[in-house]
This record gives sequence, C-alpha cells and structure tokens, in this order.
Amino acid sequence: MLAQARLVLATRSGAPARSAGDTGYLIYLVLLIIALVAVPAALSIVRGLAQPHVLSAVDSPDSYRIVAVVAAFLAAAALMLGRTRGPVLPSPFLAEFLAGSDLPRSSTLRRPFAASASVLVGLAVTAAGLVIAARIVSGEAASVSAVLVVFGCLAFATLLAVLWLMGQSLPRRATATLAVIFVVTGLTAGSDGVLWITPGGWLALLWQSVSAGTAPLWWPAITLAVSPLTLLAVPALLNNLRGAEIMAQSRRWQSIGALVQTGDLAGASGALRAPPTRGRRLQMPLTGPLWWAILHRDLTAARRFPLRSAFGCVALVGAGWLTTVTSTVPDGLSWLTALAGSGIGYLAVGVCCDGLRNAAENAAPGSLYGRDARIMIGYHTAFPLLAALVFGSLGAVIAGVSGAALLWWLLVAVFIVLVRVFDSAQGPMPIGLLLPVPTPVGDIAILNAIIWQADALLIVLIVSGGLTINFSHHGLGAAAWLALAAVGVAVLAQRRIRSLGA
Amino acid sequence: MREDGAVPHLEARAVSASIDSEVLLAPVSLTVKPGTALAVQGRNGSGKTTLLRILSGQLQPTDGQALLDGHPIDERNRGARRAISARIGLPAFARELTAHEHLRFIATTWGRTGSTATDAADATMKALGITELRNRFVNELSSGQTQLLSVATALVRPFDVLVVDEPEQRLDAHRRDLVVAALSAQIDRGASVVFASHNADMVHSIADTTITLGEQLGEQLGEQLGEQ
Repeated sequence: MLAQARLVLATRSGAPARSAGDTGYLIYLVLLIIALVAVPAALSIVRGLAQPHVLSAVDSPDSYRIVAVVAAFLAAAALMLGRTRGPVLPSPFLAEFLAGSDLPRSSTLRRPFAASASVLVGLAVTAAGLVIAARIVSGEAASVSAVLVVFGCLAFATLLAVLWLMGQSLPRRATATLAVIFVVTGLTAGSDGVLWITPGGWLALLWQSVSAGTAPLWWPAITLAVSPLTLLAVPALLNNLRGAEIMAQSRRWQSIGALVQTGDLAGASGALRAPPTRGRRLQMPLTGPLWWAILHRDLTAARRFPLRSAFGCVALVGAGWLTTVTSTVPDGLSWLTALAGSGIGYLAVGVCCDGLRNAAENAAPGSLYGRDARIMIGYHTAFPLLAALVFGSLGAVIAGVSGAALLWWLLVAVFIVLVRVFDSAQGPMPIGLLLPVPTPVGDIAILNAIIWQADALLIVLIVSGGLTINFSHHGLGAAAWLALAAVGVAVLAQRRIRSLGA
Repeated sequence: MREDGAVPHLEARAVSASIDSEVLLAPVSLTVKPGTALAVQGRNGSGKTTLLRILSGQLQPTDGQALLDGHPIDERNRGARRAISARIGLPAFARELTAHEHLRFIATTWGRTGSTATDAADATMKALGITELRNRFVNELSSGQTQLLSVATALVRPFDVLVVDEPEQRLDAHRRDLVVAALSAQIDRGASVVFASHNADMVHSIADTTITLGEQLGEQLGEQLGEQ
C-alpha cells in the first residue's frame, strides 16, 4: 500500500519519466561535480589540515578533551534541534495523507528519517576521513586506531540521529533534561572517568589513542560499535510522533523553502522563530524616555524566549572568546577563530534583534509608530549592542587576553550591530537579480541572489573576520579600517531605511 | 485635534492613480468635513484601497490632489502622519508582544507615556470588546480577533482623520456593532472618518456620505444618505 501511495505521489509531482539519455546526463553531471568541485575541495582541506602548525594544534595532547566537549554539545544540540527541525520532515502532502493514514508511522516515516540520518552520518564520516587523511598525508602511517576513529564517528553520528529523533518525538521536558546531562558531561570532560562512560567520551578516547600513537583502546570501540543498537528504538520513536507536530514542522519548512526560493531570506528566518508561549504576564514598564522604554520592551521580549536568549548569550560569550583569542593562536588557525568569532557573533546578536526587525518592518508608509523609523531603529539597537558588549566582553575576560583585544571586541560588537541594522532594512530582493546571466558554464543568476541574500554575513566575515586576523599584527591600522567600515555600513543602512519609505 | 481646536478637513480633487496605461483609480473628488464619515463603496478592484492609500498619504495620486486642510497630503510630513491614522491591511505586528503591550507601545511612541498609554490601551480594548485578549500574543488570536486588534492599533493613537479599509472583515455581527460604536464615538468627538466597506449595515450606521467607485470610470457618485 505504501509503495502504491509513493507511486501516486511520484506521478503527482508531474516529473516526466527519465529517459536513458537523462540518466546518462545526470551521471555525467554528478561525476563532473565530484571531479571539479568535491575532490579539489577535499584535497585543499586535507592539504590545509596537513600543515605542521595546524596538525600540531589538532594533535595537541589535550585535543581529545575538545573532541569530548564538541561531541557532548553536538548530542545536546541534536536533542534540542528536534523540536524545531526534526529528522522526520515529509512534505505536507505526505504528512497529511500518509502519516495521517492508519499505517504505522514506523513504516510511513521510516524513509524521511533514513534520509536525514544518512546525510548526518555521511557528513560525520567525511569530516573524520578528512582529518585522518591529513595525518596520513603528513607522513603518518595508517593505523588500526585511525580506522577505529572513522568507524567511531560513523557510530556516534548514528547515535546523534537517534537523539535528533528523540528531540522530535519525546516531550520537551525529557529531551531538555537529557540535553542538560550531555552539556554537563561536556563541561566535565576534564575528568577521564567521565570519558569512559559517555558516548562523546568514547569517541574522545579513540581520538586520544590516535593522537598519542598508542595501541587502540577496545572498550570505547566496542561500546561505540554497539551504540547503533539504539536504532532499535527508532520504530517506537516514529510511532510516538504526533501528526499535528509533523504537519506544523513540515508546513513551516515548506514555507521557509518557498521564502528562500523567492529571495525572502529575512522572512524565512522569521518563520524559523517560533512564537512565544510564556512570559505573557511579565511587566513591561514603558516609562521614561522613549529609548529607555524601548530597551525595557526588548529586554522583556527576550525573556519570553528563555532558551533562545540563553543560547544567544552563550554564543556571544563564545564569539567574544574566539575573536579575542585570535591574536594568541598559531597563524594557521587564526583565520578559523577570527571567522568563527565574527560569524557566530553576527548570528548570536540576531537573537536580540526582534525589536529592531519590527521597527524596520514598520519603516514603510503606514507605520504603527509615531516616531521616525530611523529613531525607532536607532533606539532598538541599544539592546543587541548591550548584549554584544556585555556577553562578548565576558568571553574576552574568560580568554584572559589583553585590554587591547577586549577593546577590539567592543569595536567588532559595534560593527556587527550596525550590520544587523543594515540587514534588517534589506527589503525584498530586486527582481533584476533573478534575470538570467548566461555564461559558458550555465546560468549564474543564482550567485547574484545568494550574494544579495548573504550580504550582511559576508560583510561581517570579510571585514570583521578579516581585520581580526590582521589585528594581532597591525592593531591600530585594523581598528582604523574597522571604524571606517562601520561608518560605511551606517551610511548604507541609513540609505536602505530611507528607501523603505521612512 | 489641533491646538487651535479646529479639525482639519479632508479633500480630494479629481485624484486618480494608474500604472502605465492600467487605471487603478478613475478620477474622483470628495470632501470630508470634521465630525463626519464617508463610506467608500464599490466592487472588488474598483479602486477603494487605492483611494484610501491616497487619502492617507501612502500613495501619491497620478493626477489630481489630495488635501488636508488645504495642504497636499504627504506621508513624509510629520504633521500629516500625526493627523491621519490609517489602517489599510494588517499591520506589521511584533510576535513577541501581547495584544495589550502592542497598544501601549504604539501609544507610547505617539507620546502617550506611562499610565496615559495604559489608559488609552485599556479604553481601546474595552471599546472593541477585546479586553480579555490583553495577555494573548498575536499568533494566539483568531482571524476576527486579529482584525479587531488591527483596528485598535489605529484607534489607540491620537488622530484627527481616521482611514480604515473594510473594518468589518472577518467579524461576526456582534463585533461589527462594536466597531460601529467605536468609530461613531470618534466621529462624535469631531474626527473625520473615511472607510471602505462592503457591509450595508455598517455603511448606514456610520456614514454621512457615500461614494461608489464603479464601472463608470470617471463618474463620481457622491450622495447624501439622508436623500435616499
């Protein structure tokens, strides 16, 4: 029956039957992409990782503890992600008529889960394979331990997929508790005892035997090898999924897909932000000068998204830490910490920008508000700026860096918030960007659209990330350039706000 | 109301709107005196919303003039924005605010701070019968309740001229009566009201004058309800 239903769906999608020629072309296209894009990219990554100073950092004696922390946080993230975007995401039509049928959901939803799990496992194995390949390229002999790490990653990714499904299927209270336990195990990764009893720890111990060049550890290898047995819980977890929640996720992600395709990335990220359900009785004073009232408004609104706000604050601490330690890490790694610091900082500040976005949405004629849009937007920047300055500085203090590095973060924080203002006033994509741009390699109009979509993030990564790398060598010069760039972004943001009709 | 106590009066002189050769609104003239209401009627696509957008300054007419107290209406002008409160379509709500906070925050930005803003929000919600929705987030409102909150956003702020597009949309008979009462109260205090509507009861209850935008492009049909 399921096969028949899928046949109907395939017919319904209207795709004409693929001819032998089409299949041949498809194979040619896939081979071309592998040969021209995937292989050179993989080789480039392997060569980059194989540089002695990068490899020595990856191979440092304590690197296995970082593996344990990252693995534990990934497990917690998988659990929490399930509620927003679970591994089971059929199309709304499939959700309505197959998940809603009397067939067991363990049958109807098995395929979407398998697809998501396969992608996750594929990514994990690829990442592990690249790192191990880099070690071999640098002259190290292949060992049993190295092979075990790759298989360990495969097993751990399988476990992650099950945790991801648990996040989607089980009550929030249960998954949040489990996520907290994983975070705690990550934070206590300094203790070897913990490593022997946690999945992330097993992976870390396997990694330790590779980096230390010791004999393979069989206990973590065996435990990880049996961990895919958790897949036995998948049918029960699939049967436990609620139809309404599958449909809600399916509809939300379909509309996000539509918004992204039509160029409305801001709208898409808005659809991702689930509406609030708590904190409705929090007091919002709205007294005093307008800027103060707006700061209170934004602060109270943020308290209505406790989990999201907490993640944002922690991410800002991380961004401050990454940005300020850039000047102390080896040259080969500085680009990684600098780009990650600026990128994470930009994404994390977005958590505090709900008020800013609403002010920008009201910049067009017919605004709800009685003050000029530029004033409203300006006052709404106070909250994200405050959050970036406070939490990012906390990250800098944890990093124990110099005062100059802290001052650099403050400048980066101001720049990131200005780029957020610039992004909030983006408006709809100009239709001209979607006009075909024929080239010998095909239509590259999509590149225009992608650049337009990601302009703010690109600006942050290139300007702030790039200058952060430069900061340790040319402190004042980098600061001057960043200040100049901030002025430029402010001018562009002002122009965008005016073009919205303010 | 202005400091001198006079309420500006709204006028359109042969305003029309078109894009290329497509006519969105055929030339139309009208006058709305203080303390009166004008109902704009017509079939779908006859240009009602376009006319309301012109009268609220959100759209410049292709030809003709829309005037407030003798001056061209321009949304970029602060005085015009303060005088005219327009609700055409749903506003850009903030999902993180409750219904009551929306109204308080809007009132605050229009200079009604502290308890004055709270009083204005309370009174508006009471007038529209949505007091019990004060702690609801916007996504928790039904379509009719969202419509009422939308109308409330236009009423909670100070204005001399109110422009509303089909306020009866998605409302049951009881809620329509509440909207009629709320708009009538504004007319009684001296405000001018221009509204588009497909609801005959609402038009008869509120409007002093109607104008029908129809197939006869260019023809202006203003008629006193009293003469009917």
